[in-house]
Parts: sequence; structure tokens; C-alpha cells
Amino acid sequence: MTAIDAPAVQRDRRKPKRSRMALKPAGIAWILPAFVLSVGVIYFCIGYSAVLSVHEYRGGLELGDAVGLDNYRTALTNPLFWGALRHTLIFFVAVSAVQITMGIVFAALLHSRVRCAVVFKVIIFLPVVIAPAIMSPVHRRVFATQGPINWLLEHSGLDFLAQPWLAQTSTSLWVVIGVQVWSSIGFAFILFFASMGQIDPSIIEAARIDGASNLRILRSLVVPSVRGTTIALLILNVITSLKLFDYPYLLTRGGPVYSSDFLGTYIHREAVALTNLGYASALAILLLVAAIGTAVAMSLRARER
Amino acid sequence: MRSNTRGIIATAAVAGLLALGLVGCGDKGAGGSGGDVEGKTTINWWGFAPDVTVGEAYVAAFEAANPDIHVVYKNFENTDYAPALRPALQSDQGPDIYEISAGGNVAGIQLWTDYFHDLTPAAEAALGADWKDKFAPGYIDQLTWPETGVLSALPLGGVGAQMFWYNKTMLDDLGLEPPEDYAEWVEQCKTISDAGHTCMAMGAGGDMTFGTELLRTTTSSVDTGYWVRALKGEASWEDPVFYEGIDILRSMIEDGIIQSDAIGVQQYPEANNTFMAGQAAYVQMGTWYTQYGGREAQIVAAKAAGISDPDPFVMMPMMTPNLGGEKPGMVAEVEWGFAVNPKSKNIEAAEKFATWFTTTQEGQEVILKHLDIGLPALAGMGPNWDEIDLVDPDVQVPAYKDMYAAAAETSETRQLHLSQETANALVVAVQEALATKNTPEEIAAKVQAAAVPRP
Repeated sequence: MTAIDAPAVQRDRRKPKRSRMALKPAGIAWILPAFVLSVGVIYFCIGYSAVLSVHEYRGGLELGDAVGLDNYRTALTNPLFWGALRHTLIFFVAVSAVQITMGIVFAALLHSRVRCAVVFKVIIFLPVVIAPAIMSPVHRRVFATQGPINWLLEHSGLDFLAQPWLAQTSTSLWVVIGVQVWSSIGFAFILFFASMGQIDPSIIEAARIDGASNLRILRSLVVPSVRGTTIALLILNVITSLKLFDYPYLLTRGGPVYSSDFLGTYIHREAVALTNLGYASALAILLLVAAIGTAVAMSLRARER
Repeated sequence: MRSNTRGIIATAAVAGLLALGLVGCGDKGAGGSGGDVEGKTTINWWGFAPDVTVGEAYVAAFEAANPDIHVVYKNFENTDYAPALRPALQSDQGPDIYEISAGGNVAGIQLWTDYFHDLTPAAEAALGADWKDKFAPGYIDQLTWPETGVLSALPLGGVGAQMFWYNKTMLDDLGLEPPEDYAEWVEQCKTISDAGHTCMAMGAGGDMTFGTELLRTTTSSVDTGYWVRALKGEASWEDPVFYEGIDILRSMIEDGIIQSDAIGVQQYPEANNTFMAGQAAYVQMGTWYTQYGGREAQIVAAKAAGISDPDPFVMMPMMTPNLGGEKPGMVAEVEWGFAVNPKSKNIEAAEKFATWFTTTQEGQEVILKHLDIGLPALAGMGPNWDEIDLVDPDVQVPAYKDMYAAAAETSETRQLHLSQETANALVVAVQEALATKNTPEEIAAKVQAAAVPRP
């Protein structure tokens, strides 16, 4: 670029700029409903929770005494809070591991020439669209002492494994994890299936010519290619794990003896059964901070890589 | 039209629509009621009991006697009632009539202290200066908030508990009689299990307090009266009586009286369905269960439990056997009462609804007819057994009368002194007793630390 050309370029750059005033009203009109909904409902609720969290509020007409950060101190020194976080971590690791592994496997299998592929896709994806409230009574029946899981174990020579799955502190969390895995594999599958469709077939073909096995292709080509999807799933799983409520509440109520308690069920118990709304609000704010913090940290980490 | 003018018009239009929407959400008065339906005043009644069909029968009877008032009944599951009602009462959209009970975490009086409308003048107007004496002993006091002396609700009737129900048809087939003590019960359960039935349907899972009631029963069979002393804070939970109560509860699973997965089962609907389907010999329920002694109500309940063509069985009450040294007898208190929302735009109609059921013979007869509540609020009344279609009246009526007499005589309350914190601590204690190997001393120490006495 010569010195003579420079002013012309600058003029050209200014040309596409339109008056800000001309855009502003129409833009506001389009975003106003969503803006009112978000600010008026969601952010107001978050702000109101923050206010409640520094009060001793039992749900009456009066807000109660301001207690500063006492509710937060109580939460951070309460073993139930850390127990719920520990369950969240176990849940996240177990669900993510199985969901991502099985999602990749199913997606890879259905990218190969499989008969009745559409039927398999529907079968794998169906649990995603069924509401937990509908399936939970069925799962409670499936995992009951006299239920089909124990029946299968007893009739296949594995009767020593049959047990009251929902009635033991050692198994209740794993029932919740198992049900969540069942309901979420289809989601991972559909994302990986779409992601694998973006891989250039010539790369796979080249690997085959070089003598790579299916497993090697999956491990060295496919998995790295869908890394973005994997990270997105991990972030979604972190958020899902932190705000988990439906399955533990519907299956075990967080019990027995808090063995399948999560932050969601803990907050619900404090807010509803114990009407300890100030403390429950402090827990909710901690949950919000944890969810945002973890998601941001994972995004930054992924970007660094 | 210039683009920015169009934008401004669009903005104004959207803002206008939003404003209209917000106006639509505005104050309509409590429960959105206050409007007239064909010239009638409409009032809304929210409750956790009775079931919808019985509630509608109550409403039909009231509307027949009070044609100028239309009532809409909304029924909630026990666990949903308080979470739904609390914000409704805070808003201007709450019901005109709601239900309050003496204690506990479903509708206990202590949950609603900010929302009382004093019903003393209405009761006095209906029954005269000596109105308190016309109710069953204790009921008015149990619905009066002690700190202010406000009568929060008018009692519909009473409830008795710490008892069991049994399937007499099944026991007769097996040649068994209700047990007198623990050892006899264990022996019976072997016979019942060998015949392919469940001995006692029990659901101690979830956050309902039915498991707690069984723990109370076992503890009270060691020392009757200890439980209420502990609830009030007059006795410690770290007490040998409570330890033994926990041990007996545990042994009931080990000895086959209750099923091993009781902690994974909920009393409603699962244990209830097992009993109503005729698959279990015993269940722990209170006087409210009398309604299923009737043929039609039992058929409906059995169908709901999955039995396509049910054959009603003879359902009988059983007082608690000697489980730990004593037969503890029943506990009883006011079941629940009708409260009036102070924000109601129809206080007069709401008070009429509350007083008609609780202070008139006509209203009380409607309540007693359905057996959902068998203990009347008004002294001197009782169910008209000739009107009720029981499966075997010759056997059932005398037993039901004895049960109601026992409930009316007891002075031990059920949930009056149960705070939410203690209720939650006891629910967890039952779970620990049945799902862990923690010692009774460890379990009791946690209850003692978490409980909040309610004197």
C-alpha cells in the first residue's frame, strides 16, 4: 500500500459505518421482550436471592434480621454441603466418562454401514426426550428389591448381586448416576454423530491405506477431531451436575441419610421442608458461583490448549 | 416511513404489549376470586386433604345448603402443599380458605403465623359465648397460636394414629389372629411370608414422616409418654428409651416384620398400594384409613393400586402389640381446620364456609359420612354407621367404634410439638437406623444436635 492510497482506504473504511441512531430504536424493539424477561425475571431473582442470603428469612412477610455472611460461613463449614459437592464430583466424573465414551462409540458405529441405522438412532436418542418425572416411577420400580434388575440377577445365577438398590447408602448414588447416564447418552451420541460428519473422509481413507485399524483410527483421528464437542459436553455436564435436582429428588429424595444428596436437593430441603430460605439462598448463590466459575475455567483451559 | 420512526413505533408497540401483559398479572384479589358466577360469590379452597372426590362431595353439600356461594377446591400432595401455599398467601392471588393442622411439616400451625385471620368472632357468632366448650377437648387450643391467642382455624375433626390396620380376610385364610406381642408377630410373619404375602407394608423412604411414626411406636412401647417429652425438650434424645426404640425398629426388619427395603419405599403410594392390592397383611396408618373400610372406596383404591377386578377384603384396625414392654395406645389431635386468608376479598363467604362445616350438625355429618375424618370436631357427634357401606359391618363397626373411642380418650398428641427441624432429624434417624450400621447412641446424638424443641 502506498502513502497516496492510505486516505482513500480510510475513507472506504468509514463508508460502511451507519448512523448509530438509525440502528438503535429498531434494535431495542427486537431485544426488548427478551431483555425484560432476562433482567426482570432471571437477574432480579438472582439479585433477590443474594439479598435473602444475608438475612435470617423463614418465609413470612418480614425479611428477618440481617446476618451478614453467616449463612455462607454455615454452608462452608457444614459437612452436608461438602458431601453434596463430593457427590456432584463423583456424578460428573462417572456420567461424563460413560456418556462421552458411549456417545463416541455409538456415533462411530452408526457412521459405518449399519442396517436399520435410523431405528438405532431413535432407540439411542429416545431417553433424552422423556421427562424425568415420567421415567422416575419406572426407574424406582426397576431398582426395587422385587424389581426386574434383581429378578434378572437372580435368574442368571448372579443372585449374590441382588440387593435393595434404593435402600442402601452404598448404592443409591450409583442408581442416580446410572439413570442419568441412560437418559443422556443419546444427547452425547447426537452431538458426536454430527461432529464426526465434519471429518474429511479422505483423512480416514489415507489412514486406512497406511494400515491403521478401526480402533487406531478412532483413537488417533476421530477422538481428536471431535475434541471441541467433548469439551462442550464436559462444560454442559459440569453445569448439569452442579444444578442437578430432578433425578435425585424423584428417585431417592437425596437419601438414604444424604447418600445421594446434591446441591439441588439440599437447597430444596432447606428452602421447602425447613423453610430456611436465607440459608437456602446462600447455598443457591454458592451454586451459581461454582457453576459460572467452573464453566469459565474450563473454557479458558480449552482455549489455552 | 423513515426507518428510525418505524423503530420507535415498534418499540412503543412492544412496550405497550408488555404493559398490557403486566396489567393482566395485576391484583385480582385473593385467589383471583371475588368475581361472580351466575350471581354467586366464588371462593377458592386449597388443601392437602381430603382427596378430590371427597372434597367435591363436601363442596356439593355446602353449595346445596348455601346456594349463593360457589366453591372451587384445589387439592395438593402433602409435600407440595406448603411450597405452593406460602407464596400464594404472600401474594394477592392466594386462596380464600386454606387448611392448618396442629403441627408437623405439611400444614402445621407454626408455618403460617404471618397469615392468620382470627376466627374467634365467627365461632362465637355461630355457637354462642360458650363456643369453646362445644368442640372436642383440646382442638381449639391446638389451633390457637399461643404467642398471640389468635384462633387460626376452625377444626373439622380429629385424627388418631400409633396403630395399625390388618387384612382380616388374609389372616382368616391363614388361621391367624392379630398378635399380642413382638414374638407372636414374628412367628405370624413367617407364616404370612411362606404363603407368598408381605407381612407389613412399610415405606420409610423419602421425606415423609411415616417411618418416624413407626419409630415413635417402637419407642413408646418402651416408655409411653417419652416421645412427647423429648419433642418438647423435657427429655433428651440421648436416652436409653430412644436407643431401645431404634433397636426394636431395626429388629423389625431383621425378624421379617417389615420388608428389608422399607427405606427405599415410600408409604404413599407404594406401601399403600401394596396393602390396598391385598398383598400385605399389615400396614401402619391412622384413623384416616377408615375410609377404605367401605366397599366402594376400597375398590377405587385397589384399582388405583393396579388390581383390575378387586375383591374387597375386611379391613380392621389393630392397636399396637407389646413391642418393648408396653402397649402404647393411640395418639390423637385435631386433624386440620379451615383457615381464612386475611387478604380474601370474600371474608364473609369464607367464614361461612369454615363455620358451616365445623359448627353446624349438618356440616359435621357431611364430614363424618365420608370417614376421611372419623373424629368429629363438635362434641357428641359421630359417624352414622348405618349409612356407610362396609365390607362386613358386623365385624367392622364395633372395632371402628372402639378405635375412635381410644383416639378420643387419649391425651397424647401426635404432631403438636413436632418442629420442622425435629421432623427432618427424625426422618434421617430412621434412615440411619435402617440403612446404616451406626449405633443407636450415634443416631440419637445427631437427633439431639439437630432437633428444635417445641414446648
